[in-house]
Amino acid sequence: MSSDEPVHDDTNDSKQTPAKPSEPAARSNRGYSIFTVPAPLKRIFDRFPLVTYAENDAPLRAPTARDTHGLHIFTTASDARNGRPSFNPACLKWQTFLKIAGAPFHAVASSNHASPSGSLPFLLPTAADQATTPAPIPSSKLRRWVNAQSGANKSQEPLDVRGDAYPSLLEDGVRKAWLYQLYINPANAALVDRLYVSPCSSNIFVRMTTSHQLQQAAQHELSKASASNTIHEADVLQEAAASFEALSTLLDSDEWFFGRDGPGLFDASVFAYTHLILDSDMQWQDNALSDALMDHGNLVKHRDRMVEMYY
Amino acid sequence: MSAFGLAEQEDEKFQPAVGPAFNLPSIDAECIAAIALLRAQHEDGWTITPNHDITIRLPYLATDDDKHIHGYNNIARYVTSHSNTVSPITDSQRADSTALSSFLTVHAQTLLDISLYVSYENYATTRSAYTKILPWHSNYILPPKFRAAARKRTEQLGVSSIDVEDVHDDLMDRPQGFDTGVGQEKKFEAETQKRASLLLGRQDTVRGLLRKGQGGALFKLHALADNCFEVMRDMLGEKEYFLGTKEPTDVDCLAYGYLSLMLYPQLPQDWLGKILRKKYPALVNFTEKMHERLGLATNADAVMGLASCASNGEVVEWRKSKKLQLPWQAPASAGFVDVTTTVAQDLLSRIPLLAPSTTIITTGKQKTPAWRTCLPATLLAAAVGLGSFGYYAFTTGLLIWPHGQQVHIFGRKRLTDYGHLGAALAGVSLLSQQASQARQEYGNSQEDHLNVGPVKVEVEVEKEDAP
Repeated sequence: MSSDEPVHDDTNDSKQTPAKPSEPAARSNRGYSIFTVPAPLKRIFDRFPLVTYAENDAPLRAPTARDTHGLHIFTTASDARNGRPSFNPACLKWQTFLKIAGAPFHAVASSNHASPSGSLPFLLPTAADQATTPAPIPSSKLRRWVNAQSGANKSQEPLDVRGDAYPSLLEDGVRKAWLYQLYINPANAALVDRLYVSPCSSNIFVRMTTSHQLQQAAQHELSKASASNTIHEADVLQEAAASFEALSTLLDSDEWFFGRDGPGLFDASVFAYTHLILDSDMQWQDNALSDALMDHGNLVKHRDRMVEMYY
Repeated sequence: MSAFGLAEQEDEKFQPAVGPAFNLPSIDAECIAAIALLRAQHEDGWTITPNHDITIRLPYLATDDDKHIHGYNNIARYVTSHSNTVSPITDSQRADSTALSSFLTVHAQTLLDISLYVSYENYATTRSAYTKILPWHSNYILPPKFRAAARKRTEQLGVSSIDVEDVHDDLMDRPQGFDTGVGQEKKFEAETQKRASLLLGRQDTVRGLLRKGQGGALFKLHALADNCFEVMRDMLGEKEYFLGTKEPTDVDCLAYGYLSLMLYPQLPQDWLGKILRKKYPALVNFTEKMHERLGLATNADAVMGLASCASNGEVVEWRKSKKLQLPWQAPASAGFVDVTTTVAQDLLSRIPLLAPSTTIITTGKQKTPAWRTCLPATLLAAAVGLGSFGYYAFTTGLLIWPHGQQVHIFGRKRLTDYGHLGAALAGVSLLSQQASQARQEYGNSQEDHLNVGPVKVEVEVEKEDAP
């Protein structure tokens, strides 16, 4: 420990007062106690702690903007700054939902490794006081969290009984077709590479493994519905087309789903897929879903309305 | 799908579905639904053949014009469009039907997975139902496969950890206070509790109540079941069928397929059936009405007995005598080749890295490069190839292991070549040599004499001195 570091006050005192060493001798006259510290030990403890180091700086990548809630999503750094939509449907859904709810937040480009639950998105709320770090909120609890925030517009539960059944169209039909089109269709391999693989690593072997893992995960997801491991492209796309048709019928000529005055969570969920399918920035090489979606003008218009309002 | 019924329509179609179980026409919900649909919309002209080939997607329908239609949704589309008895439904009804079908495949399937496969005690019952309808070799292959698939589908719910076949492993891994759930009996704990309660008297705490039976897990399972059944109940409302039609439609049949498998099997852990009967009588009514109306009760033994029938006439006779209401055909019998290939395929699929990867059937022109689809196998092949080439090359001398330049010593090896010690030894041996030479000098032949070193040295010295 170098001597130019700040030194504890006690040590300074002991150095400056030469009378100190005689003190134990004086004390011993008053009577020996078992609690008396022996003189040699006392001298060591007088010098303790020897040095107090200055605090380390926070790492450069530590979050700096702590004044607004940070939503961690798949996106690029520049898109996050400009508030552009995420390229991942699950992230885009919650990003849009927070915008609809009017909760102030900033997007943070992140990866699955950053998430406590292992999947994005998650929200890191601002701390009420500096001392405590609030627990991150996974996407499954995001809705309850938004409703608990006083400043945000309360999102009403859909009153329609159908409101519970229709989301499974997105979870099942549309999501499977999305997985197929993005991860399994070889024509779009370059797109996966740009969105998910390149940000991870520049090493050729790591990238090869990552893209292989992504593809395997998508295949597992698609084939786990049956015990056999065969995926029929035509089936997957047909289910998606049927789902879009049902969604289109549900929307009918209304502005928002379930005939509501403003958009809600379900609008955000539908938008998350329709936007990414129709977005020209994605540069799809093979976009069969867009063909199925284009047949339903009201869904396309719904997506345009959402883009205008929020992005 | 495990045992399938293949329905073969004499004049028009064949309809395969999983074989009968639990007094139902099949053990798979989609297959039951497909049979119910055909029953509801086509009076006759089709047959059912039990099948258990998982390489094809069941149920499948083989039509007389040689089309093969796989999967319930595709079959429903085909059957409905070819039926004259069904009144057309409106767009909004169609949308509801699509949404509800999706909902059922996501949520009801999860419940069935937990109830029939994930729960260990129930799985024992499911497995014995399979025993009746599967040939002997498939019994060792298919039910575990279905169970593995069911656990994979439900793993994100955290229920699969609730019971594991090895009770001891499970007990060790579990954090304290974590309740075992569906499934296994807690033999040890129950015994201890019985004794403890004798000593401590009876006082039920909430925690104690929850720990009893499958308490803690039941909470989670009830929530899952309510999520599914509430939506179904609301969609059904006061109507007779889900879409408000007079006749059952494809989505009614699908709902029946799932609900019947929840209601009718006699399972040791019957939480799912209990919830249905207790809280959702409307859904139970609906299921029973469909069951009665379509006459879907099936005796599995009678159907599997069809295998002994040699001719079509015999099949019809058998059906009559056993009161089989559905047009069952004899199940396809497994030949020796079938057995061998199935077993071999299964064994192969268990070797890591060599397991066949997912097959994708596509119309697209661009194919995924082969190395990408089977990266592990490619890597394995590359490693094995490189290793065996290396071995071959070194053993045959095609390549030589790198080493330093070899040392060649020309001429006779002398002791002095071996360093200091060698030199010392050489001195000793030289002395002894000289001594023995001196002794043998007179008796030795001329040739021996010439070979002696010291003599040569003398000659050299003489030559140097000469000039």
